[in-house]
Amino acid sequence: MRAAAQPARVTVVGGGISGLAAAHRLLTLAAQAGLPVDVTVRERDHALGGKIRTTPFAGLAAVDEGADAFLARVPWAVALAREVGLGEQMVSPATGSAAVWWRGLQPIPAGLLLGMPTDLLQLARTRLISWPGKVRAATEVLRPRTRIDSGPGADSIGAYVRARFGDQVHERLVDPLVGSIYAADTDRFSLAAVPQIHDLAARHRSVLLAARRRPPAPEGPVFFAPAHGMGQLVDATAEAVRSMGGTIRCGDPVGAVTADGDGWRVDDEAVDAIVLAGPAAASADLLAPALPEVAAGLAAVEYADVVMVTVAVPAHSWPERLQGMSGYLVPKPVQRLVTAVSFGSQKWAHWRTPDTVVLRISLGRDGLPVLHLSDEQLVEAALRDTGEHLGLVLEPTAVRLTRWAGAFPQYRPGHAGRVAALEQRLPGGVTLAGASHHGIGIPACVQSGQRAAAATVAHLTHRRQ
Amino acid sequence: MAQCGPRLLLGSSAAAIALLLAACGGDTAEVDDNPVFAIAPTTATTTTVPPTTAAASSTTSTPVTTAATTTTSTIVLPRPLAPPDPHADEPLVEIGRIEIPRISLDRPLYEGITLGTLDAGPGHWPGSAMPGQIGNVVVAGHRVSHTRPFRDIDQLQQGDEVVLTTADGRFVYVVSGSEVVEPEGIHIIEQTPAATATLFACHPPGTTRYRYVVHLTLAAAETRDG
Repeated sequence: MRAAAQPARVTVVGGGISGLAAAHRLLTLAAQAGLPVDVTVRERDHALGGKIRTTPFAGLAAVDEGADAFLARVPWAVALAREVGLGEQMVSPATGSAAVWWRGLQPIPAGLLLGMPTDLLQLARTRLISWPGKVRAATEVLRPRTRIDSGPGADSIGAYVRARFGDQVHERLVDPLVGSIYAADTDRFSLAAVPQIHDLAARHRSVLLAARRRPPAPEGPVFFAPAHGMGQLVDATAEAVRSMGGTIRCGDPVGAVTADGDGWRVDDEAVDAIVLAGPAAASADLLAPALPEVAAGLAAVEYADVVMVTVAVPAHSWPERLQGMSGYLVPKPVQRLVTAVSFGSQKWAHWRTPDTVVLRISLGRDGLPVLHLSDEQLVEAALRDTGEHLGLVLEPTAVRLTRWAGAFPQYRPGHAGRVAALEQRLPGGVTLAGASHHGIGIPACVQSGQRAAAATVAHLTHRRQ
Repeated sequence: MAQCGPRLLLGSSAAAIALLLAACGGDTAEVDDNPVFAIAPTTATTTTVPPTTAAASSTTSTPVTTAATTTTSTIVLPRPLAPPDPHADEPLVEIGRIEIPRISLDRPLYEGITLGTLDAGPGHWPGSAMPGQIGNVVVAGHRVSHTRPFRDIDQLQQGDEVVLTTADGRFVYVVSGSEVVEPEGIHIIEQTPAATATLFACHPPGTTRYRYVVHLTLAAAETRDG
């Protein structure tokens, strides 16, 4: 037993936003509780941020290579940004119209709820869905309740939406809109991972009828980002951790986690608690010797790889018809390699120059592998697909290619139950955080880090008594 | 079969399509069972999309980011060679394996589509995309003669896996559809701007009347270096 004055030692494995949010919350809660704590974040890469990275591009100081914003309508990321001093620096993308490419760019109809129609008059106007497809969608009001908790399509987004609205609405609206967020194949993705759809499906027979009774969407922006890119959130959180006495070590991969009495040993350091905030596969490797069953469960989580090709094209070559748009999505039936294109300069003031338009082209998803292709092939495919979609010959003045291996964990149907079962097997002092477990977006990552921090502080407090 | 879709690779002259070169026959080893399409050797012409600019890759300090200078290059899809004389001699070159669990097939994959090669097992159409690459990987096989690798090709259903393994890695394709075409249905070897594959064999078994064609898309890739 250490002397009471000895601070409790906690290692956070992983310096992405989840691990940094965990460390920040750990230090905050420990200070409030008067608990002396020694927090070390260990990141295997040479830079912090994980899936968030912002770098200079084409004369611009900060163009994101991964996520370029986070949802403003859930609290965790917004609150963290305020806590670390970025509250005054938040910007929102210009509200541009988005499209789905289906034999040309088709504006996304108004009145959608995560791709599902809530307004049949709006749906009637789109050329994206055929008339038989629209009639099929309209029959949603008449259909019996769709079971989401059992049967062959249990907890699958695709199975639910196809049953309610038919294949066209699923393939041309819901799968592009929801699937592109997570690089997912929504036929194989957990409905429970998208709470807005899941809650409707669990509580109501008909989406169309339930949507009429929904309160209007809240006012205010849907997305926020720091004015100098998402990297600012990482940097500011890391700075806050350091200023509160935490240690952050980059280029410092953890080799082994072993049990050590009533504590743990991370490599050769004795610690009182561990927060595993890296990808599930990395956590699995670390836990394999001490907790083989938990490790096997974590290792079973599958990932989708994506590639982001960022290009700058001359502004004079960018046609007027595309101005004011935020970008477009490509539905799976007509996908080649490109899944979505974001017209970054038209979304973000800080991505704008007088001479160029910056586009971010996403390639690959679950079931559409891309990482095995060469840089040249990927850039060619990005320019060819995008050029054909837009009816343009893209002649970029600058190109950047970012390979995101294991970018998006894929929550297969039943994911939440498997995570809960795994977490029950975790001994006190070991917690999981990050995109692999309780939600994929940045707010969910922040929340998972903060939950892990609260559980860790509770564990340490309990041990002191 | 009508020529349809953009012709990305072969000269489109209908005159280039000649009679079937070799007959698929009965169920004896002596009879030819050559599924290869009936087009006469011809000079392949390539239609390329307009020249555009692609990145010259130079990896920067971060291992995953490539930037920035530009050079001009022409985008060209793989270009299948015109079908060979089916009786020509070609060396038997094994380029990998083909596995189709649904029909219990697990055999070497050879380079070439002459009868000599197809008698040994499924063959990769020279010049069509290699497994994993962007373009269309075209593989021909016998149905009734020799090892009959594609005897049950018509049993394949949407979503079934076809695994092609080469020195480059292990590539899992899934069945997206199938069709029956005339022997002149050369469109099935057209190269695609996505990573696809096509298997074909004579149809019905023991005749040369049609070709049974299975279309595949790449669903997973594991490269050797991880």
